[in-house]
Amino acid sequence: MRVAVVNRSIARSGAKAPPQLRLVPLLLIAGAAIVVIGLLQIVQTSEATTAGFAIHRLEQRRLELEASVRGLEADVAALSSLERIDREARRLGLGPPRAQETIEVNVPWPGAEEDRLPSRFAPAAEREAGEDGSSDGSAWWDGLLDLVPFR
Amino acid sequence: MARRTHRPNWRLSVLVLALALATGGVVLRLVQVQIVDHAYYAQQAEDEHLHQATVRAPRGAILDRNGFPLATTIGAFDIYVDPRTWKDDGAALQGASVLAPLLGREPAELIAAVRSQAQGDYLAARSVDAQAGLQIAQSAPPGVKTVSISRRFYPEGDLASALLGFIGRDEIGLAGVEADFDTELGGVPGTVYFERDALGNKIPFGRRLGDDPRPGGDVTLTIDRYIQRLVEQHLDAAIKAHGAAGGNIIVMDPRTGEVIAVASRPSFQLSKLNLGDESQVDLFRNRAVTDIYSPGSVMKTITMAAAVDLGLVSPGTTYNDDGIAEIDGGETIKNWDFSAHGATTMVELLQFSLNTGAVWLSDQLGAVRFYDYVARFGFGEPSGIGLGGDPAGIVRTNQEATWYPIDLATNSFGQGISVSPVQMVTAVSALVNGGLLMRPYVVKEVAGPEGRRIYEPVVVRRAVSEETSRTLVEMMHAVVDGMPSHLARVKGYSVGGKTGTTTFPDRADTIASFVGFAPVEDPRFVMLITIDGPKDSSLGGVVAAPVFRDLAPSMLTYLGVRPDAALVAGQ
Repeated sequence: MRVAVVNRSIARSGAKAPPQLRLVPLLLIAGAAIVVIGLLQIVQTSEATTAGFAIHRLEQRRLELEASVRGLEADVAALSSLERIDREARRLGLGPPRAQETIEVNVPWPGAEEDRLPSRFAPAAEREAGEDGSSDGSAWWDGLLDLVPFR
Repeated sequence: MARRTHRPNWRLSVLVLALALATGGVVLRLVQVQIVDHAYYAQQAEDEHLHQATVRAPRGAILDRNGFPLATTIGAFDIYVDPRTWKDDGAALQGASVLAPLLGREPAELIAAVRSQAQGDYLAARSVDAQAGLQIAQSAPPGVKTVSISRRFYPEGDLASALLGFIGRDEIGLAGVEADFDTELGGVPGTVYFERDALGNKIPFGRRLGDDPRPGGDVTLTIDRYIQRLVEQHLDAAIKAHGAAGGNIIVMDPRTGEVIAVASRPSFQLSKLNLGDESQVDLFRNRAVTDIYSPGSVMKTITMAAAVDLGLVSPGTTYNDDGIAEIDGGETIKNWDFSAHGATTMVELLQFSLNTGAVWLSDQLGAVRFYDYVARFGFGEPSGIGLGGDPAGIVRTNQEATWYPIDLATNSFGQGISVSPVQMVTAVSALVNGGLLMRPYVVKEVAGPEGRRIYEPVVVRRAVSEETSRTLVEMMHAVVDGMPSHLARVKGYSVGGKTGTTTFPDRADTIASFVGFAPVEDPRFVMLITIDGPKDSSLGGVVAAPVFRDLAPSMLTYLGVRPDAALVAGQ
């Protein structure tokens, strides 16, 4: 009897769970959080490093393209050099003229009332006059100013 | 039961004390390093991790007046090999098998050369073109490093070498326009600070600070590449034909002072430049700018202009030429051909290039007025062309203790006075453009990131009146077109000019020269030709004048100057 009572007392006194059993979930959660945070940092750093490498590669690519552009500009310059033009002209059978003739055309350019040549063949001054609508080279608003009495 | 007292064991105390001391020492050291000496160690770490690199600015181009590049910059690579890596046979063979074919070398020879390098990396190739360099970089053979550089490229080859000049390996201009406009062309280098790891490699995404490089500006010259090429071809042909030692041709627009073409020989070639060859050093200067010479009879036009401007003579004024001019002190001066022409007009004086006539003119002028006009035409002071080595020349005036009356006489026909070709062509330009001395210049514009700077024509001063200029134009026209046998005459065009022959008291060779302009009605160019030491003839009229005759038609056609219909009809 006394033993049973003692046993019951011991059982009652041991009925509550030890405190460390409630901490386990908390510790697990904390541990998981630390791992996640750590992983997050690693992922971020990894991404940053990857981006850095990509930037570096793109910078190199930009430098290569800039060098390529300069090289192409130099190629264009070389292709349009006088030496090459001369060489290609001779290869095509061209050469300096043996005689030179200068022909002066003293006939005026056809006027508006006649069959006109395309305007691009007109002398520069007449082409500009045609564009602004006046025949004497003055601007179109000059006509309006003529209406002003005190001018 | 009796309580037991626990007295610390002395051994334990010693141990605790030792641990405490050690811990205290560590803590103190930490405090010293991290707090007291923080700045010092932080700086050391910064120095260790942060690396500074200079980023070269792209060098600007040099263009002709129409925008065609004469000098531009392209990318290239220097190829280095680490001898330590190539100590291993496998790495060496692998590297050499990739590198050698691209560099045009034998693999075994390349390996031997690399291994013979005592210290540092071996420079396998310099200035490899960008395509080959990128190929090497991408294939990444072991121990091979590619260093990106830039180098100058000349699309027109050796055209205008003396004027363009060249740069050194550090991309700093050393001669010519490259040197004189180095600040404008070179830009401003940038600085980059970046973090590097223990192996010296740049840490991606590490800190980057610094200034971006500011590219150099493009320099546009007044030179026309087509005329420049014509001029160089004809100069080379004339030098070869007459067995001469060298020569110069300068073409100037008299209205503005722009130098349209300038060629000088002997000169270096940009395509064969070797800065290590000391024998080439003498070729680096632009002789048309830097070298001085006695202009000879071309100077008679200046003497005549002075006399006309002062109203002392007119084209029809005569003097008596008996073949000898006597100078104070008993010296005598004769005509170059020992001739005597009797009553001679001022036009004939120039046509026959009479020394006695020039001396007569100098007597009319007097020393003071003569040297005043010499100064007005820019002699005795640098031309201001903006290129290095621009000399003042040597003009000994009556103010100097070493001057004698004979100097006035000889100076009047271009002896005993030294001028540069640029000064001479500038002075004659003043004669034909209405009397204004223009400042010569070769750079028209500089265009860079900060904007464009345009160089406008500058009038230095009025040398003679407009009327005097018109008179001299007509007189010089008569010198060429008024002499049916003159070798400077150009079919279909009215031209003017004056020959010159420079003799030396201490040597037999001469300088044959001719200065001409065309067309007479509105001169579009003035051209000075000097040929040094021609072997077959010493006369400017025989050696230099034909060069003008051969060059002028092409130039006038190119400039769009129509032939004179009356002259064409009459020929």
